[in-house]
Amino acid sequence: MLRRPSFAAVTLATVAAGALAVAYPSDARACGCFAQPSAATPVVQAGERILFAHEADQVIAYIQIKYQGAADQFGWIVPLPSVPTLELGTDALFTMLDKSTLPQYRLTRQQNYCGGFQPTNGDGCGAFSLGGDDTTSTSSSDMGVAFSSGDMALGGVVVEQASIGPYDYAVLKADDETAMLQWLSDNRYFVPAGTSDAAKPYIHPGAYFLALKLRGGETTGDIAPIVLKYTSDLPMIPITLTQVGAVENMGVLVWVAGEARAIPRNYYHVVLDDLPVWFSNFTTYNLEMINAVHEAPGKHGFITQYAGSSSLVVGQLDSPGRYGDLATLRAETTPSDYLHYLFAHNYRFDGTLLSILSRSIPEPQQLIDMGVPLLQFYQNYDSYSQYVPGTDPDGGAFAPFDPGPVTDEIATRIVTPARDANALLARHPYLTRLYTALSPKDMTIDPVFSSNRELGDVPLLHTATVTTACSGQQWLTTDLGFEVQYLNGLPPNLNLPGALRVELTRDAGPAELVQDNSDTIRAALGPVDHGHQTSPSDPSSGCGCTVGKRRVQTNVAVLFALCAVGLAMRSLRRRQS
Amino acid sequence: MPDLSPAPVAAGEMTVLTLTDGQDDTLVEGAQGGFHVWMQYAVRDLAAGTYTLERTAHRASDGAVVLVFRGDVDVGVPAADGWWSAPAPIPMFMCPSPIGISVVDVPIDFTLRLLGAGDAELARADITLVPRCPEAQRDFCTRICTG
Repeated sequence: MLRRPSFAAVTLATVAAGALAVAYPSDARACGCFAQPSAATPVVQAGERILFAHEADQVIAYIQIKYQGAADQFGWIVPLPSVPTLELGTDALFTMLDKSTLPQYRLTRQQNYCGGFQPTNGDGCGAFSLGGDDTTSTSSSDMGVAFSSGDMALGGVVVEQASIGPYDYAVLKADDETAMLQWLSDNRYFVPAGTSDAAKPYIHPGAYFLALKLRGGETTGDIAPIVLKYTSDLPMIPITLTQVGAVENMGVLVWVAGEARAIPRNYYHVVLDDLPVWFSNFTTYNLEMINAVHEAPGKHGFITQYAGSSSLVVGQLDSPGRYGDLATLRAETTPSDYLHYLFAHNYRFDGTLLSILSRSIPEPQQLIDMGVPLLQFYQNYDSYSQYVPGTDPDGGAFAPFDPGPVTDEIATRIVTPARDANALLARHPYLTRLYTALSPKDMTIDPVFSSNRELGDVPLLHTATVTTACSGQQWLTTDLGFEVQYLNGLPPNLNLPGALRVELTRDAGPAELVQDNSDTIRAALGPVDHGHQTSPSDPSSGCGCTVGKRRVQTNVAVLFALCAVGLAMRSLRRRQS
Repeated sequence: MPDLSPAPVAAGEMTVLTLTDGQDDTLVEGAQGGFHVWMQYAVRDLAAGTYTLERTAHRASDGAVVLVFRGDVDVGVPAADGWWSAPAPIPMFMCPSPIGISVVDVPIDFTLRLLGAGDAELARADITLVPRCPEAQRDFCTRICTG
């Protein structure tokens, strides 16, 4: 049993989440609705991260659930169009997707000289990735699927009742709201105030609700992503229900794996005006995204952060050699050898693995009291082994260690989900990453995602150049075609629109323009003085550049002399050879 | 070209109905809060195999795109009369409708196409229907089906 949250994991979460602090202001996210035990202990849902795919007639949804609160007060419900199948997912999928599809901003600095440009900093300085949400949850888990429905007398609203990993779950008929909510309450699936109203659109014959709660003895750290498969055509997020426990500007991050670029069917498509991102040296990216989507009517807009080949994510979760051979791992009979094998085969020591290991290789209380993080304990196990009760002082066998159960759990909770997720991504050639931020009062329309084969890709890389003239002020040129003068090396302080464009995207055809802020932005940016750059072919000027009325003349004779010396040396070397 | 016959199913019913162009069709409530037209189709003189089924819907008045959806379908061995019927109705996703496009109380052109290699059209069926909101959910249906 996990005795306390891993300090290392908490620290990682704090540092990494800071990069997306605006989008994910706290450590709780999911698709669906968190059920709050009471108004006095609000359970917030601060973000959702979902991967959708469609295969045959089924929607496959990988949903990351994060939660803050007491374990016995955790509850989560989601409406579904059919009876789902349920599997365990892995947080590693979302960490990988987030990192791999995060937009990158690359700033190049150029020095204007003698009629041309020359990079002054190699490939440019400021190649910048926005920093993923490398949140490592402090989760642990039980393993496997333990169906218990066969022993239960089902009936009434209950279609299926079982357990999977750390969860007890129930699939309920949603044709009678009163009966469904009563059953949830009777069975300690907490139902927050406000659920009744928010759930009404989903209550009708033929509909279902999936309800989750943590099994007895499980901790909130055991919460793991789930994989739902259900019959449906288009993926949808039941955001209307989510409003019950959501926070302001809750970030929603969606990946859709498919045959073509995914689009928000009933939300506006927003193209980010990224000038403020460049101006802020990338620090306000998330804030700018929120500002941009809020410029869509009803604040119902999605930004496409990436659309293109899925090849950039395929193989990352299951690269050759990763995870090694489970039979070999199972044969490691000492904690030391076992941990060495895990480190050597690129196991990610995230919250899930730490929790699993903590049950089989518990950290000694003495080290806990000393404040040694769990990860540090495992990383330096051999050094700390003297603190392990019953351990041979020479680092010998740790008597109670049994590699069988822990390996089974690693296989079920880490290796199999990662390989399944990788296989899913490999079956779909295209991947789209979409983002929005919604406040509860704006969660009035459930976003549905379809696709459009005619829309182009959205690349990850965004570029801009800061050019320094021979004299005068620098200016910025972005890949979207905007230019703005810098003053004393600093960007201007302008009040710019958050969105470059607001569009409608359909299942076919080009995007339809709703609002184009290009002219407004250009007007705000004002004119740019590039200086006068003379042409080398200009017989009257030679090589030089003019900034305003001030002319800067370079020494052409020196350049010719250097060129002549170079040619002479080359000729000499040829003769010598 | 093989004959592909769509036959929309009325709300709550699972029997095949014969509809004609321009006929009203009550939208069937989807389980996640949407509303859809369900169609069952049959195809004749097509070898058993896996094909791409393309479902499209456009507003008849102006051709506005309501739906374009592709998925694989396994066509079985035809009966003695040469017809193979889809085992169950399939949804034509209507609501939530695309922004700015109402799909209720106006004619919608539906097309089913079976595509082979290289997107070659193997069979096609067209029908125009007038989707109507179910009376019991008229307010909610109207809200999410009128763009």
